[in-house]
Amino acid sequence: MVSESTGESSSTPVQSKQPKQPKAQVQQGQGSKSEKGGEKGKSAKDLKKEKRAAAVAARGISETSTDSSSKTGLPNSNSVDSRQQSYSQQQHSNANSIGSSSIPKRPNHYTEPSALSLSTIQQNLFFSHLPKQIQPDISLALNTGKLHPIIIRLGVLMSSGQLRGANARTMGMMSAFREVIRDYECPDQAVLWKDLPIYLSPMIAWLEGCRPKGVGGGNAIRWLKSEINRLGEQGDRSEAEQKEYLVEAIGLYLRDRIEFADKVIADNAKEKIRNGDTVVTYARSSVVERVLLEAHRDMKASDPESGFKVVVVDSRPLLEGRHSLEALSGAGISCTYILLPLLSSILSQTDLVLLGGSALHSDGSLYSRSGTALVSMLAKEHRVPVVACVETYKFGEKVVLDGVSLNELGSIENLINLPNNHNNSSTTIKKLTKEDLNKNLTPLNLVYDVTPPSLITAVCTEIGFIPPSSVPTVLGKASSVV
Amino acid sequence: MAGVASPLSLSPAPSARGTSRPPAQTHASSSGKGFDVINAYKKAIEDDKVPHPIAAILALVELIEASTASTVTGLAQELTIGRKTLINTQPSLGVRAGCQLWERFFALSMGGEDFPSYKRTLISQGRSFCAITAPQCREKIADLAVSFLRDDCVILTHSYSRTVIQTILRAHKQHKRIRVYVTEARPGCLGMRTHQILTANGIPCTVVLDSAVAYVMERVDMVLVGSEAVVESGGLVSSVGTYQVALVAKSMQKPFYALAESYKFLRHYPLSQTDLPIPTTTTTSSSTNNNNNNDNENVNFNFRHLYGDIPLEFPTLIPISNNSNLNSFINQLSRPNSLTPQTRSPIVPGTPNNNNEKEKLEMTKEMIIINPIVDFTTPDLIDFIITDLGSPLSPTSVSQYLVAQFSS
Repeated sequence: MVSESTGESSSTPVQSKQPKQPKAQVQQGQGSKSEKGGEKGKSAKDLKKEKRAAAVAARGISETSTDSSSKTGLPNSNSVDSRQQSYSQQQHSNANSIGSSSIPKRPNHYTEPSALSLSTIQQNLFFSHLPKQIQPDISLALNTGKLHPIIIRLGVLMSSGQLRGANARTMGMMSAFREVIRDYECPDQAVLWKDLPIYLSPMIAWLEGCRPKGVGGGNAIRWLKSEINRLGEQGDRSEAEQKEYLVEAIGLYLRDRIEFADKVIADNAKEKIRNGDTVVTYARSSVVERVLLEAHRDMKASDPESGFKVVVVDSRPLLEGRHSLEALSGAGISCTYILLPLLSSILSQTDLVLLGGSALHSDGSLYSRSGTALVSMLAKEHRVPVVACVETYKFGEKVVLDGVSLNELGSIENLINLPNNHNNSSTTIKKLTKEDLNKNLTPLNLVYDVTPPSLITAVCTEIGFIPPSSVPTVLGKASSVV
Repeated sequence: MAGVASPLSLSPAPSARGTSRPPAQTHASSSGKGFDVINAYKKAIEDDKVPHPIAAILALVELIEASTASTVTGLAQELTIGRKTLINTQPSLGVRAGCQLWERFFALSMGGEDFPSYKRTLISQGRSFCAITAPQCREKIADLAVSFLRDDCVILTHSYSRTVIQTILRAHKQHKRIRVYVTEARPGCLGMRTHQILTANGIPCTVVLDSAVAYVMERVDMVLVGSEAVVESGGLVSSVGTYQVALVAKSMQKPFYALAESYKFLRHYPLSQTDLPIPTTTTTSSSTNNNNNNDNENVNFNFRHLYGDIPLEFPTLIPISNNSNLNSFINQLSRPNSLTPQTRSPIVPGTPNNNNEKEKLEMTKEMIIINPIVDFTTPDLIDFIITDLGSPLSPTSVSQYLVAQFSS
């Protein structure tokens, strides 16, 4: 098996076809190539190849996932094809050489065989293409010397879930890159606008490996690259000036596209919340939280007697709604906390559903925390208007038809084990162990889902309320800006 | 159609309006420099051919003419005050649409020339828009819409719309045999007016009770309505009853076409029927002279504020006070209102007088007044919105057009 697949992946035809191959395969070919480089000593050709791979990695979005999934074969399953398994074994044997000798442009997140079972168990037939959340290897990342420490820190925060939410992640990423650009020094013979993207690309790839950056983050990175390119057109300016320009531009981007956008969205959306209303929110969204807090503040300012109620709907395994609940009830809003199964009973008494989102695709479908589609479906059934609060920087040009083709796999530790249910003697739910998982069980934790546009009444953006069908119009206008 | 929803355009005597709207006067005086936007608007709307948005624009143009401001910013400030006065006092959503249009025009044409010539071009452009472009819109719509009317077809229309009538008359001139059902459209009963005009022109026309719409729908080939405003979702705001006509038409799979001039496009996204920016009279003076006014539509907006922002709300106070449980029960049912109880009428709106039970029970004036005058037709019920922008638009493309216009 091993020899067979090695022959396949490192054979010349595959490599010669590299540029035209799908990205995932490029990565695999590259992996084996760099191994060979490590063994034989690096030739100039190898270096060139690696550079190109790094560029591909920076551009690409999904290959990390495929890469990492293929690296770690399922120990128990026979369905994993032979190439993948053998590939993982190769990787094992070369683990040491990668860290020291060759310069991996892409970070290799390496999971020990013992830790495999839980995080890789979701790799069954339908979901093996999805990126999953794994612990990134920090020491490896530090050893490469290509990653700025702040980026490594950010990656760890993202993958551990301490930095959650599209806005927070994008803001974190962009301000980290601002620091990186401040610290960046252009080499002597190089030109800044040409060298900087190459310098940044391994960091972007590392962050992508820690957690896919999503549509909003992708838009921000694309914008940053176009800004760097624009430096090339503008001609002679000193390095310090150019850096200063970029640092300032990032600040403006964060301010205009996220902070001000949120403010305007809050101003728009709070008009829809009236005295005595009951508003439903799902999980946690920074924008929705802001809308509710500002609506509450304004309502209390105009009339202390008035007010509205909030129903925070939550679901396992993340239970993010608790954070929302804390913020909202802390501000004096009367809240009700329920889990998703109870929603259908509550909805008939509510007036508005406010949702946040990770992305809004060009067909108007909302890409958001899994469960959102369920909430909107129920709301539609009960004729409760559904308003999605999304900044325009999260508008994506893709069309996504389902939640399977593009998604993320979350950690399943939380899914299979109830957090604090052990003491509860009345329930006799057996705690699942790794042995159970090694049988015919596939726990699945998809992080996002897709809400079709027909379920969304209106999208609240910084340019006002728009119907989901108008997203392409906005995208067409914004494409010059983004 | 601008005139559809608001009964204001009906009443011919401006003096009657003046007396029935004391709040308007106070507002106007605050708009500064002695110019009365409200009066200018009312004068403009007197002309039966002038719809609400155009009347609003005319009033604002007159405000510019009368303005003594010497800078662009000064003028802009006066305009903003005038616009707010109009929007806050006039019940028609068309006024808001016209004001938004003028605001955008003002903002786009700013800069370049020196102030006096800038002012002159503004005025001349505003006047020419109202005098030439606006009537052309209606012509254009009639041109487009007439091709939808087949020979020997039966049309159902709601209330009174100048654009619809113009379209039907044009089809009649083209020797298409057309029969029209028109709803009575209570409480304004503007449908009678449509009936009058159509029969005078020799078109068979029958007035249908609002409650008989579903009965008559099976004989109808298409529904043609005007509108007061087209909102960003692609839905219509128009005379109350349009929504139910649209619902019935949808369930019987009859095509539902709306006619709307592009100056009626309104930047607003209603989520529900109650989510419409219709101003409530802001003054607290409960004018008692309304009872003298026999034209009950004119009373409409002065009474509205007694009962809160939302039409058809349940009263918070009930005269039968011996049952306190019932009282609190009703309180729970009704949406708590931002108005404090003090400003509310202590009597229940429209409890019928039980003294003379032999008399026929009818809706009292107060009962009618708490009813809405416009409703919001959701975009999913509309097949096409025929506008002057060219080929008939689906509600989706109308909303795309609107978003493109306003997001720039």
